[in-house]
Parts: sequence; structure tokens; C-alpha cells
Amino acid sequence: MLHEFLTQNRANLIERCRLKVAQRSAPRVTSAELTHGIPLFLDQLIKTLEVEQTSEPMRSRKVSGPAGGGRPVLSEMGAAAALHGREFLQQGFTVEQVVHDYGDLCQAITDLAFEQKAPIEIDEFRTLNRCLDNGIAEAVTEYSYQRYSAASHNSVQALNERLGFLAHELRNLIHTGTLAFTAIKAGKVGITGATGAVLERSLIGLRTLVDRSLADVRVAAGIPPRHELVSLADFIDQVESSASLEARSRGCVFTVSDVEGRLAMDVDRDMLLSALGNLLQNAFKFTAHGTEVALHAYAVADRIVIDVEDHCGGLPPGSMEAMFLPFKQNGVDRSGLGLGLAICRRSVEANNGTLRVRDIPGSGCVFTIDLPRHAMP
Amino acid sequence: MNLLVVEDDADAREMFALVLEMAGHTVRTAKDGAEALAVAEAFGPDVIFLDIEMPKVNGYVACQNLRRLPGLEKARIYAVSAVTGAAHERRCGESGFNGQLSKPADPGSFAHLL
Repeated sequence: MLHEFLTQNRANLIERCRLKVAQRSAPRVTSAELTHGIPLFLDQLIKTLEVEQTSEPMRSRKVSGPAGGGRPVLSEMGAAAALHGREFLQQGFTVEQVVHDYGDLCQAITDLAFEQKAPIEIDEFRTLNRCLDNGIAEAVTEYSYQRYSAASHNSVQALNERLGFLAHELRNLIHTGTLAFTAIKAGKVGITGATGAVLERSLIGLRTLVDRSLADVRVAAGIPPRHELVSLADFIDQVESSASLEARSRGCVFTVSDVEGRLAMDVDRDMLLSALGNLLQNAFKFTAHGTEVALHAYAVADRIVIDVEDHCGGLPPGSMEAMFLPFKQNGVDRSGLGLGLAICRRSVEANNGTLRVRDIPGSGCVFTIDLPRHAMP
Repeated sequence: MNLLVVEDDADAREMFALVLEMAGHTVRTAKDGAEALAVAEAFGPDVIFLDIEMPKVNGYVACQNLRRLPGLEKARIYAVSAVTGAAHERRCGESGFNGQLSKPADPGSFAHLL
């Protein structure tokens, strides 16, 4: 009888499984995997086979569940397999390892039975297969469910963090704008003076924040860019007029080089405006007071290149890749969400371009948007 | 009244001071916790409005430092911040603040406090 064979060779079978899993590639199996998985499954398989030899063989379904899957049924084996699947995920194993864990046992049983010339009846083999099917199904289902839950949880946490940062920045800008408005409303300062400029900066900040957030939502939601042929010269003109005010308010010199009239890009104008606006805002923020921020747009072979160069003094060591991560802020002025460059890169990539940064030690850095080149008709 | 505004954002600092001056108060400003100590020691403010998120020394620590200054035991210190929530309120209490104002603060609320 198979259950007797399994009982007599339990330790041998577990050891064979242990050897098989030890040969797997990383991540390495732990003793917990061996203890909670195969030994328990083997005991439940033996119990199932024993019950099937009694006058009420259908009671074995309470131990190991019915054949054929379909509607989920609570069984001892199902509960244990679900726990096994969950533990696999927590320990960093792949779904492939979950399946192989059960496959190892099947192979160990058939190998040992062959070596010992122990007969396995068709009904017993059918039961073995049913138990393996149900164990694998429950373990994989639980593994997938837990993985999905963890991903959803992380996603919600990241979203909440973003909303928190957004609310925080909105509060700061509205606070300053409200104070400026209160002072102007009192009639003792004019709208065209310094207080008016503060109000204007607050409003620009709010507009920029909303633009960036909308661009982020569009990129994150996977909303495809609305591609159109855009004149590079017109695009840079538009950026220059909106950025000049902010440059003045930040006390830096903003220069824009001439752009050849026929150059064009096939891009989502709003998305790219937001990305370039983001780069410029960073440059105005981090460049040393009174220094130049330069915007150059030109063609190199089949590419359009847009450079934003500042005089921030150079990037901190090791920050070049990390600075594109969400919530990463390198500078002393930490106003803003810290999301800018992450959003910016995703926006540029959504337009078939790349965003890179070049450090000029002791001077500053150059952010470059690189896009496919087109020509105006 | 003598008022001290401590805020790292220049625009917010200047506007806050302007509005308080328009209400007839004598106002000094500081851009961080360290400067606040020096100004407070010399100025002797009756009320201090202290931002929380500042570089180097945050508002909670700055409040504790200000409380240790001779002559400031009776000064009222209010946290003015975009930070909200129970943890912030608890930390404000532990740091020695008399109360909190959330940004964006209603200018009417300053008059009420003063």
C-alpha cells in the first residue's frame, strides 16, 4: 500500500527533497521551507491514503479536497498549502519554487518506489496526483494573492505619501499668497511692488505644482501622449516666456540660445512643457544666486537635444542616478515634492525620448532631453 | 507687542512680518533656529511664531532651545506649519509650544492669538 510505503520511507523522502531543493539556484531554501512544506504535505497525503482504505473513503476529501479544482473547498491540505505559499512569498521565493517544491516530492516518491520495486496502484497514483494538484493550486493561489495585496498596499502607501507632499506644498504656497493678499488688501502696499511680486510667485508656484501633478497623473495612469508635430522654436519661445518671470523672482540670469526655425518634435506638447519647466525650475532653485541658467535647443544628427545648464556648483558624489528617484532631493532648498525629476524622466520617456544629467564638477550640471528629430513642413 | 517670526522661506517670512507690522506690532525675523536664538536673546519677544520644517534645526528643537533662554520663560511660542496630525500636536506639546497654527493660516487667527 502506498501509505505504508510513504510512512516507512518518510525520512528518506524528506531527505531526497532536501537534497533537490539544496541544488536550486538562489534564493536559497531555508529550513522553514522544508519543515512547513513537504513534511506536512507528506503527512496529509499519508492520512488521505489511509482514509481511502476505510469504508468511508470520501472522508479523505476533508483532508485533501476534491479533484478537479473549481469551487474552493476548505481542507487540511488546502489550508497548509496556503500557509506554505504565503511563507514562500515572505521569504522571497519565486512562484516557480512553490511549484517545484511539490514536484520534487512527486519525483522522490516515484524514484524511491522504482528503486525499491514498490508497486503503486492506479487509484493510489490518482490520489497522489489529486493531492499534488490541490496543494500546488492552493499554494500558488495564496502566493499570488499575497503578492498582489503587497503590491496594492505599497502602491496605496506611495500614493498617500505623494498626496501628503502635495498637500504640504499647496499649504505653504497658499499661506504665503494669503498673507501677501491680506497686506495688499489693507491698502498700505501696492500690487505692483514687492508684496505683489510675492503674491505672483505664490500663484506661479501653485500653477506649476498643479501642472506637475497633472502631468504625473497622466504619466502614472498610462494615458498615452497626444503626439503632434511641434516647432522647436515655438516650443522654446513658450517655455522662455513662462520661465523668465520665475528666473527673475529667483534672482538668476536666464539665457536662451537661438533655435533653427525648421526643427520640430513629434511630442505631447503639454507633457514636454511640464518636463522642461520642471528642469528649469530646479535649475533656478539650485543655481548659485545671480548666476546664469542657460537653455539651448539644437539638432545633432537625427536627434533634437534640449540642454538646461546651471551653476549649482556640481552634483554631490553618487547622486546622478539616485536623483531621478521619487522623493529624492539633493539641494539645500527642499521646497517642492521631490518628485520632479522622477516625473520628468517618465514624461520624456513617454515621448520616446531620454533624460540624462552631466555633472560639471565645481561649476554645475547639464540636464539633457534627447528626442527624435523631425522637420516642419 | 514684540513679535518674532522664524521661517526659512523668505517670501513667507517677509509677508508674515508685514501683516503683523500692519497690525501695529514690532516685528523681528529669523530664517532658522540658530538665528532665532540670537534675535530672541537681544529682542525679548512677547510672542514667537515658529515654523517647524527648517533646515539644520527644526522647529521642535528650536522651541526647546528658545525655552531655555533666560527671560523667555513666559513668552508665548506658536508653531506655524503645513505639518498637521496627532503626532505633530504631541511633539508640539512636548517641545513647549503654547499652540499651533496650520498653514495656510487665517490672518484673523493671529489677531485672535495676540
